Order: sequence, then C-alpha cells, then structure tokens
Amino acid sequence: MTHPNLLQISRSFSAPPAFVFGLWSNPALLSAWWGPEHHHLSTCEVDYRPGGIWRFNMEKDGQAHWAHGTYHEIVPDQRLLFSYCFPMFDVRSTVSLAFAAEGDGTRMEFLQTGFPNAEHHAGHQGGWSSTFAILENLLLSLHGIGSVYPSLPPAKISGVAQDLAEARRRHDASLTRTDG
Amino acid sequence: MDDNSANALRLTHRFAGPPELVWTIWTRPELIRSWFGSSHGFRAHDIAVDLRPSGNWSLRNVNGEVTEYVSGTYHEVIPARRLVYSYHFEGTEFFSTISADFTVDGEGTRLHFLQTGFPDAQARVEHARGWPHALRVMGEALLAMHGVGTLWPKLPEPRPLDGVARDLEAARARLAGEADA
Repeated sequence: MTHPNLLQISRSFSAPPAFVFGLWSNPALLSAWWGPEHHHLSTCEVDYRPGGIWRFNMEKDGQAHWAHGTYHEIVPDQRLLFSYCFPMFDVRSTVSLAFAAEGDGTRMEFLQTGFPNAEHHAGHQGGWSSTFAILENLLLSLHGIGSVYPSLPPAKISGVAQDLAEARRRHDASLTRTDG
Repeated sequence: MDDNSANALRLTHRFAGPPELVWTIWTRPELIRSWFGSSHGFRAHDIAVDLRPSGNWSLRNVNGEVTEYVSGTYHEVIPARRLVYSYHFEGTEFFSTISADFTVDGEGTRLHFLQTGFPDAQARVEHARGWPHALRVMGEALLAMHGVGTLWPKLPEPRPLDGVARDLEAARARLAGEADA
C-alpha cells in the first residue's frame, strides 16, 4: 500500500442514536448539514433501501461536485453501509457508520475505504470533519445552545414553498390586470 | 425494509463445512482461483489479496481472448464471520459492494450474501447466474473434503491447503463436464 486507504473518524453527538441515524435518511434532513462548509446540496436524491441509489450535487460558488452511491445495509438506529463514488476525483469507496448510545448522546464510528491517492484521502478527512462539525452545530442549535460554527449552509427553499410563491405571484399579477 | 431488487442480489447458501473452512475458500488466492468467474468460463490469474480493512484485492480474469481486470478494497474483515468489500471491473462503471456473513448452522455454515450496485440489468442477471454456480463449486469442494461420496472418498488428515485447491479444481472440472453434457 503506497497511500493511506482507510479513513476512520470517531465522533460523539449530542442527540440519541435514533435521532442521529435519522438525519442520514432523507433529503430534507441531509440537505441541512451535508457537505463541508461553504458547500450545499443543490441536488439530493435518496432511495433509502438496500440497492437504492443516492445522488448528490455538493455545490460551492456555483461549481458542481457530483457524488453517488448505492445503499447496501440499513439497520435502523445502528448501522449504515453504502458505496460512495466521486467520479471527478476517481474516488470509488465504501462507507460504513455505526451508531451507539453514549450517555445522553451518540458515539458514531465512521469508516471509509478505497481512495485513489493520498491527496483525496486528505481531502476527505478535511471534508468529513467539516461536515460533522456542521452536523454537531445543527444538533446544538436544536437544543437552543446557539451556533458554535461560523456558518451553516444556506437554507434551501423547499419545492412546496417555491410553488406557493409562484402561485402568489400569478395571483398578484391577475389582480393587477383586473384592477387595470 | 424491502430491497431495490433490481440493484441488489441477495442469496443464502448452506455449506457442509465449518465457517473457518468456508472463510478460507473465500479469501485464499489459490482457492479463489478455482471458483471466481467459473460460471462464465473464466479463469483468474495474478490473484492478490491483502486481507484487512483498506487492503486491496485484484485479479486478471481470462476467458480466451477476453481479459477483465477485477479489483476492490476490503472494508470489514472479521475472520469466519463477516467479509465486506468492493468489487470493481476496471475501466467500467461497474462498482459494487459485497457482504458475506457466515454463521454456524449445525455442522455446516450458513452464508448470507448480498451484492449491491450493478451498472445495468444485464450485469445483475449475469451475477445472479454466476454466484450460485461459484457457491456450488465451493460446496462440492467442501463435500469432497468431508469424504462425502465424490472424487476423493477418503482424504488424509490434516489437509494441506493445496489439497483444498485440488478439490476445488476437481469440483470445477466436474461442474464444467455437467454443463457440457
């Protein structure tokens, strides 16, 4: 082995395992924290079942970073295992997560294997650390402890909200015409 | 939770041998050679196995004029219990994940196998055909090692590993013969 091929991160979070596990399960929740600082998910597609495919675009300053993979194992509140491909960096890897209760919170053991070179190993080490800091910050702010992290990813307008805004614009426009 | 079965292949299989032996057949290069790609007439060469989390495996799979380079990385390695690894056909979009869980089942071993991540329906069809064949080759070898009415009725104890490889060769040859018949 000529480069580090294994990334292991152990972190504790201030929420119970079922809560932390749940944050990985659907786009509305994933979009709130996924991606290193200054990135946000402009696309987040999740088919959350073994054999289901996930596909994210982590945008930064309008620049696309596509990643995708397949869920392999989903054991509620305990384990998650999926493939993780980052084509633009030639990364084809496997990610597993184990969640266990630790006091009032959760100990999460993260493991990723399969990096093409040391550069992308280091890049992912920094990326995940930043991502997990955002995740912890999100959990703390839910507790009303306030933000310890400089910036959360920009809040996304949901599709429903966009539809409502569009409907209102049409409604306002029709009123203007009637009045005129 | 139901699978997306179009992109997941789940198999169970019972082997007539203890998990330690099944594990050996699954992970030793000289034994992998006899079953890998056997359903499609391939023969594996240059098998390299670095059996530890983050260790890579690779082989050159040859069938006549066709050569495929297959490789991956071990993710979980719990001897005789659980093996998780990636499985990639180099130069293609075929990157999948395999888990194999081994549990004691009476005098034998129960295997729970799962492969996810196929590039297209054809790849899933071919693997759904290929894995049962490979599992049969492995099973035949285990039966032979137990002296259950196959080519070697009585085998010396203890068995060196190259004996296991020989059993696998014979099992594979016999299956190939049945397929031709």
